[in-house]
Amino acid sequence: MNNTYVFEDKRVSVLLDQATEKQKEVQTRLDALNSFKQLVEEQSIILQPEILHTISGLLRDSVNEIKEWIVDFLDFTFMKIGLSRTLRKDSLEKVLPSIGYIINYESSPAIIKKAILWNASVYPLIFERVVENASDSTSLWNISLSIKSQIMRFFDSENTSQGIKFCAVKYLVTVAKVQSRRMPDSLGKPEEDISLSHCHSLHPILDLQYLEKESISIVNGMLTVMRTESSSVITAIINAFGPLLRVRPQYVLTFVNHVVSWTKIPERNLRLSQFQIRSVNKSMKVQLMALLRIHENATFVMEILNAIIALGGKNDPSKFPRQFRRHLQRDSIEENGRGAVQRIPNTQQSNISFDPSQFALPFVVEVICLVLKTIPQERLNQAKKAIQERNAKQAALAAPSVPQPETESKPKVRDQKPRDPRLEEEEEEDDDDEYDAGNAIIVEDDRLERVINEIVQEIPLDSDSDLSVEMEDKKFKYEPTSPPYEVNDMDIEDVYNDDIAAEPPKSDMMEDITPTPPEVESTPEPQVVSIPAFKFQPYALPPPESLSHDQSNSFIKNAFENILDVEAALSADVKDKRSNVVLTTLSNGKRLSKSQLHIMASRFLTRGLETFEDDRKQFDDLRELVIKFILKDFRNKTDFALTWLDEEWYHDSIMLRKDPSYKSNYSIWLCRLLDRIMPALEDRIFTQFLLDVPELFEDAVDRIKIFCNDPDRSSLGFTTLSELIELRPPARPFCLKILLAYCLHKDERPRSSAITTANKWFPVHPVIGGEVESFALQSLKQLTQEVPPPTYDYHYHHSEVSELAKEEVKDEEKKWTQIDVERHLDLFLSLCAKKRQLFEKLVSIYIESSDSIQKFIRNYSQKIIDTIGLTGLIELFQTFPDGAEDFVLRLLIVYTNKTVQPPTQLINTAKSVIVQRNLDGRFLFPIIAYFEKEEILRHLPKVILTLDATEKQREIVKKVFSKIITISAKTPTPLEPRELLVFLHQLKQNEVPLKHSVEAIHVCFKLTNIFTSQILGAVLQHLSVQPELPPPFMRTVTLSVRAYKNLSGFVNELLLRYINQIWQNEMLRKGFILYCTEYCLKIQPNDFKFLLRLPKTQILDVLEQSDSTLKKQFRNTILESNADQRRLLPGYLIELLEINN
Amino acid sequence: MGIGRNFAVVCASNQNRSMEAHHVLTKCGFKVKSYGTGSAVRLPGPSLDRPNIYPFGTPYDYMFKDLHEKDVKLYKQNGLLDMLDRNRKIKLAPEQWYTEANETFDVIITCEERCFDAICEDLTDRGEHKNRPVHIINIDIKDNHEDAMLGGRAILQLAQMIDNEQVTDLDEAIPGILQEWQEKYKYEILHSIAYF
Repeated sequence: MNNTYVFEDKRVSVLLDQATEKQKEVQTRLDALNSFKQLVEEQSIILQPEILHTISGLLRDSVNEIKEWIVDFLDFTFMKIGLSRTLRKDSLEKVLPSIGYIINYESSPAIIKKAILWNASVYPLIFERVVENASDSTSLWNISLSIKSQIMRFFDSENTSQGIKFCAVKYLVTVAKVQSRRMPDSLGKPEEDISLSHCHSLHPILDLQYLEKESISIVNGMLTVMRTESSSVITAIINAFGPLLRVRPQYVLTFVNHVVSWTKIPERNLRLSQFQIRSVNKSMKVQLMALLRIHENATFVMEILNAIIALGGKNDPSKFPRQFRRHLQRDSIEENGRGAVQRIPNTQQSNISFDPSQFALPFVVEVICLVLKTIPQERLNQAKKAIQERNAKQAALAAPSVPQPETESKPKVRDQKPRDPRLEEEEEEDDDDEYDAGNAIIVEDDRLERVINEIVQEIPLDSDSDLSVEMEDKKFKYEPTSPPYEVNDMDIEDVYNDDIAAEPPKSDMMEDITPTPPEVESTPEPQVVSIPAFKFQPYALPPPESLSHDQSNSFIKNAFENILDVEAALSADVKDKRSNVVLTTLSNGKRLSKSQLHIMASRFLTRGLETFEDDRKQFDDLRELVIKFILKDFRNKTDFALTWLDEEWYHDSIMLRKDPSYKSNYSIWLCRLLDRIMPALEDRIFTQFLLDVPELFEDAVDRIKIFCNDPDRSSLGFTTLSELIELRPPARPFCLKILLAYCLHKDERPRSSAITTANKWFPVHPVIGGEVESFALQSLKQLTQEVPPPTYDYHYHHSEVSELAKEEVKDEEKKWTQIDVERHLDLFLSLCAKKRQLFEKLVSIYIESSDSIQKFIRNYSQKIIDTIGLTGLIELFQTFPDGAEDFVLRLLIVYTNKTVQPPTQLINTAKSVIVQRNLDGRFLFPIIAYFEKEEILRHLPKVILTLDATEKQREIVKKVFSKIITISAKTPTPLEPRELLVFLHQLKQNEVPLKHSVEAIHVCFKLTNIFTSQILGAVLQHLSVQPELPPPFMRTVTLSVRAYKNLSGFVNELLLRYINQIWQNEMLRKGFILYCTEYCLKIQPNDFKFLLRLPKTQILDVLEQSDSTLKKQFRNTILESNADQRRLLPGYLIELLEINN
Repeated sequence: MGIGRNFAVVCASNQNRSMEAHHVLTKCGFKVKSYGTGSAVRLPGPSLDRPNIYPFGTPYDYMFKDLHEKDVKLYKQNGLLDMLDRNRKIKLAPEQWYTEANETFDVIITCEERCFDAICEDLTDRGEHKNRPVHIINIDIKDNHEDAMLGGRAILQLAQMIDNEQVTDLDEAIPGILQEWQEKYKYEILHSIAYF
């Protein structure tokens, strides 16, 4: 101990004395404590368990300030200053009794709160300590049990203050976490997660089964009190559960069930205010949403989703992982339906008039069914008959190809949203085979239609046209390809005949809303005009006036601007509502909805205009108008944009059929719109938009790269690609190409996002999964090429400049780098994690590739081992082909470095494979330390044989030795340093050449902290009593004395005793002469006492060695000595040294 | 002047609502910090599709000069320059909750529901290792200058009710405080206990 430390120590005791003196003023004591804390901050070494014991004793003080200071200080020492874990564990026993005292007897809530929170922080430590030291931890565990039960009492009692409950919640959740098991799908690092899995099942103090049961009952108990507690405590419980559920997924289902049952507690409304209920619901939702994202593929996700829906409130679909959105819609419809059934009596009683078009279709159907139930069978039959008769009459009047409303064909259920109109078109053609060509109207469900018909007849409900509008909407929305003008449309039913698109935009509608220039009426619209405005009656408009070209163009523009104005003026009122909300009623009693207005505008722009090349520019101006209009509020105008693009696409397809050289408008305008909206977009609206546009082509999709390259928006880019790949098969090839190219990106962030995206299809998706796999294998194979393949062009270039840019990208020949290798491996590895058989491919590629690539691959071992894990490593060890030795060895090293104790299974496998395949000693390096003692000794020669006189190899063997000694020290039969060194001396020379064993002995001497003078002395002693001195004996002697001068006395005596034996062996003899020379010249310069004690033969041999330095030195010393001393010398020495008296 | 409870005020961009509250709370001597939960700082631009976007950490002063240079008339007129001028006198730059908020707070006030969600989720993600309870209160304030000013006053009132000598045990008092406060101000609020 040095002086400064003693000084510090004194200061500590003085300060602590001051603090504990109860007569002094509180402030003086606090000052002393603060100074002490300052000391600790500067030098945390003074915090020894005894000091903490003294400090924590102050918790029994009477002054609250002091007590509070102490709890804060304990929090500071245990949680903040990074005291070693062992020290903290050792100190627990000293501190916990006083904390227990506080928990049990303290009255100040502030102090109790802090003490409970401190306990929450250290509970894992206490548990770990008890697990590790079963023998002396009984009292520690008992105190912690008493603390636990007191905190449980706090939690259970109704009189406990809220703040204490918040703290108790946190403590109990920690207890539940520690006292349960870690699951394979738990998040977080296993080594930081203290759990029952840390403890073996037969622990003398801990009853694991009981602890686990207690944890379950704590979880259930906490969730059950949600029925009775205040909203603050409930939110505290829910938020404290968040981290617990991440590491203990086994509790998720319990949690979710309690959330669901919470939504069904009727009395919560009485107990809590509205805002409190909302707060609780909100907290639940936040945690559930997080769980949904984390456990996207777990078995219980549907339960989570149902719980979220049960909580009610707004659910923004874009915040849900994609696969749940459909459920979300379905469930919310069901939810509406359920709610509606309960509401029905109300509407009947109050007789309030309502607009049924505001309700969802399933709800309307349900209402209808309910109403139908109240009508007697007789009347239903009558109504049915009446309809049949009427239909028959109409059929006779109409064209010969009238469909039978009572057709027996099964209801045609259509996809909710066809993703690609081209597919739709094909389906359409199929339909035409089934149905009469003239009968193109799609009936969603024949039965439904019948039911509605009957109701229309029977119930005096002013809703017929609304319902039909809704039906009609569906037809338009889902079927952009069906030509709207078929005369037969009109023939099916009166009820269904208000085809808005068939109506020209009448001026009276405009008058209802905005004043319209009278010109509109005379706008020439040939197609529209030719449609009969009323059915069954021959009716013809007078021939249109002919206008000049300019005039007609300006009319067109005016008319179009007016339509947009109407939309703008109206949509302000109906924002956020469904697009089929009725905007206005036309003069003929039919209703115009927002989506119909969109269709009108779009068709006006496309099919409504005859395109001559001259007009193209003007129509482009109109389209520019539309784009500007959409851009004003893209979010709320996506419906319009889609309708417009659908129409453009359809129009293009018609035109292309007529004239193959027609220049498509759709692609131009889609790109222009994308270019303008992309800079500002950063949410899912963009993805949805791309999913919904009628057709995608490579140039449009290429723009997604802009997102992928932007760190802020890259996730949007990748989700968009992912959804396009999954949901739009025609766009799949080029989208997948981009995504896969990003899997090879040189920056890790985009690369890993792309890989995560691509990986999710593997291996489940039959098509995409396969493509991803083959791409990964192809990238892997590229490692065998001499140079890396040219980099993909990750930048988006406008089509005009792309050629030029491509030239720039041409790479000059370049060499493989570490990064190149890693990016070619990453995707493959992520697939390996799911399908381990693939890993063989990497091994075979490794063998084939060049040395430098092999080295790069080896450098990536950490990632590889993370992927294949222990099982993969073991399998690899059993099967690896020749040539992959270095690779396997590196993986083994990386794996063992990472773990504290490699699993026995791995060690056993490695051991047997090493023997079977006679692998060299390097394979033993990482594992030999974990062998049994006998095995270590059996295998050690192999390790020693790897020594090749290089410093690097010595360093490696040194580490192996050090590991053997430190690790085996924990086993029942340790290999002690002494035994190791003795063993090295006794190696058989036919197994290990002397050169190697000597080198190994040298290595031992480098481990100066292990091979101390005591151990060396013991080794020399041991070696000397063997029947024969081992050949390297003298070398060891020299090295020992060189390292520890103080050994020389003992060693010299030993040598004198065995001098004759030494002289019988030439090697030992030479060794002795060298030692003696070194001893007299360097170790004890000019001290020749040892030399003089030798027998005559030996002295002469030593002095007459070829190197005469010793002899000269000895002679000089003699010459300098006085005559008396000289006289003591034997005569033969005087003679030899030629000294004249 | 409060008794030293730590406040954090959070909105999306740490510009308007949270900075207004930061301003008034600091002026009255409360310990307060402010943050944004967005991915970047977004300020209105010449049109809806061309906002001005800055990364968090860009000094207010820089933004002020930048906008001043771009179109002094426009940004003077829509109040951005005044706002930035105020902000640069309070602190250097907007801070992002996820990266900058390393200390613990007693009360976190969010100005929008999605910020509330973000904070609750982030605290859970952090693991709640510090074992420190915190009150999170959401007050829905619209993101414009007038509403921000009114919201700032309401937050100040709330802070005064929370941080004074009479409230020794905030955990116990908070339901009453919130109820009393709601009688004066008609904001939709949420309140939740979470942990650092």
